[in-house]
Amino acid sequence: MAGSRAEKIGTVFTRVTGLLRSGALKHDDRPLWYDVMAAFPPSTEPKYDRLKLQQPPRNILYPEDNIRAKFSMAYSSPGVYDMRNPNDKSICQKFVDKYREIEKSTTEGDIFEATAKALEAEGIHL
Amino acid sequence: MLKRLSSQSLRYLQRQCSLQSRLCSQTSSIEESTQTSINPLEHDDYFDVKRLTKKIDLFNNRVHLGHKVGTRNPYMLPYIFGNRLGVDILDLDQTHELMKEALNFIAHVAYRDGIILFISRHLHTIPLVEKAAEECGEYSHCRQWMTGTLTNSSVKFGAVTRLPDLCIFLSTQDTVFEQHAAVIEAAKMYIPSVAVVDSACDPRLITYPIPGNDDTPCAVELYLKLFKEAILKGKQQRMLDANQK
Amino acid sequence: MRAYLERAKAHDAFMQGEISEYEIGKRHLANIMGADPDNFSQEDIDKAVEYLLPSGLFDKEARPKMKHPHDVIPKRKAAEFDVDGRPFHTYFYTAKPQFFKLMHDAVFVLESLKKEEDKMLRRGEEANADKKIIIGASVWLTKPAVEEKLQEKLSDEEYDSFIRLFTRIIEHPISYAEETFIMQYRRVLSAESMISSIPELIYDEAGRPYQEAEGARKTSKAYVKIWSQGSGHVTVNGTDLLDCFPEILDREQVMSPLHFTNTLGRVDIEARVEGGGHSSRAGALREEALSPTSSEIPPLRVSPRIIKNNNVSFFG
Repeated sequence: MAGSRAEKIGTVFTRVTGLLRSGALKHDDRPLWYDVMAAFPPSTEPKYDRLKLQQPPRNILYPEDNIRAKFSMAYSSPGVYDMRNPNDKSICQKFVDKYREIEKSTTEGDIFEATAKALEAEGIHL
Repeated sequence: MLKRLSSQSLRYLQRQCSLQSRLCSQTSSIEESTQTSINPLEHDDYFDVKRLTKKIDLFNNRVHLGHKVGTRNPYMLPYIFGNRLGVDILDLDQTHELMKEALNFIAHVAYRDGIILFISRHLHTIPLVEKAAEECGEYSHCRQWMTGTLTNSSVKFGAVTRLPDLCIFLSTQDTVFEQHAAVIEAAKMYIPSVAVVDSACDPRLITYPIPGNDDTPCAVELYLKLFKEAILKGKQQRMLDANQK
Repeated sequence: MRAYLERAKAHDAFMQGEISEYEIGKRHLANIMGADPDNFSQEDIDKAVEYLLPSGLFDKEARPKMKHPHDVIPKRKAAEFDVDGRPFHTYFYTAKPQFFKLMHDAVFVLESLKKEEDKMLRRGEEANADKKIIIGASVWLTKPAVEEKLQEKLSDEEYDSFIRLFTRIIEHPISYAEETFIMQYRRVLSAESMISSIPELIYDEAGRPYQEAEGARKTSKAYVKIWSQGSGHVTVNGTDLLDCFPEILDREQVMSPLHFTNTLGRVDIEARVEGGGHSSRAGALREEALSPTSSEIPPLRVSPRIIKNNNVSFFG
């Protein structure tokens, strides 16, 4: 096909449009995808020279991360579990769930210790 | 059908700017797609491909998992939802919309009997990609890329060759460090591209980027299933429309 | 594109012309030979050509012949696109579709083997050791052979990756399940190593085992008795080895099979040699006579030293 091979200028669509407008490319010879892209243009124009976002993405952190951190400090291993099974939880996650459960009911005493004891009582070895 | 389209396409060009806003507002029922009087390009979802993707499927197949921060491509920032303990998490809201857009485009190209070339250099998933391409009657190139396969095709293939009309990249990286040469070659040869771009990939030359995890086999299987279905729907519709003429 | 299709068309037309000429020639030949033109086979053609155009050329390939064009004219790839320009092959854009198709199929063969093995393990079964493909009995096709088979030129890296993948398949415990697929790409060696049989052991009155063998090289002939439980004593035509073969090269020739099979000093040899010169006599001893020095060891045809030298005299 006639036309420039400078891929960094404009987009595929604008370059073909230019060729059509100048007559270098006959309307009947236009690429098969051209009408489709005209009807359904991509939501972001695929230009090579675009501005970079300066703002770094936010950190994804949850309140229970504190409990997880404490758990890793104390026990280090999150335990073995089946990642393919969405219902199977790691020991760490079980610990977090238990912790929050206990947190709701009691306000005094060391909740961390209490959680560990409760899990031991349930037969989950930490 | 194609004749009729070509006469109308100029009109679409002029209306191109207004089209996008129209796209968002236009809602159409599935029953409409079976009517012959309708122009596929005027229909928001002529091939009924937009309901193929569900956000929960994307999530369950780990599409949201990106790479480590150190490998992040700055141009991927708009598609990144956030950073979880050093790993970029992609925004599935955007992925979902962009996937629908890409599937619609793929189905339209397949409807017009375009050649669709699947490309990937991710060694674990090469056989899957090749199989999917073969199953929908399209083409794949998952082996070492010879420079000039697209830009110098008549020499490479020993004859004037019809180039693909659409390249689908399941991974835009050739090695961990380098972009696939076909991304640039396709852009040079006026071939639009649909690509799964991970947080480490450059989305700038990709016409229809789909931010998503390109390393996990189950994610790649999901993409392939969607692409294949879109292509088959496009081809099926072509047969139906040809029969009704 | 159009040029390509034209070329493919021209080739087809050329082949059609060649075939029709061959058919006409066949009928003429049948008429000359007074045979029925409709039932004139390729074998009859060969006989007729040999009768009508006798040739004394040594190389059979150089003698006149008349074969079907498909056998003589080198194969060409069939057209690769349809009229719309859509390639026929899904791997067309890789430029080596046949090779990558093979690699793709091989991956799925390997995966199916793995799956089958997992199933067997779950059932508590083990791979059948009797059915195992004997790797030593065949070799992988060489690069030119693979290229000829696929009609595509391969790079060294591609051939290496082919060998690597197929080696993984053949080394799989249940590779025998896909033997037909694998053996398409292996050349069987058994034709050479299985034919030569090892002479039976014979026992003399004292119960000492020995073997008898004959060998020939050029115009020499050797008859050998190899005694087990010996001390390395060699007699040729009733004299000592040193007297019979004054040249060190000849003595090396005779002793090399013993050296190779590690039986030096452990067997006695009694030989009779006739005809020829000193080197052909030594060769005759080495050839057939001494190569299988013990029936406990397998035939050693693969060793380059003991490969038979077929240079036997035409007049011998």
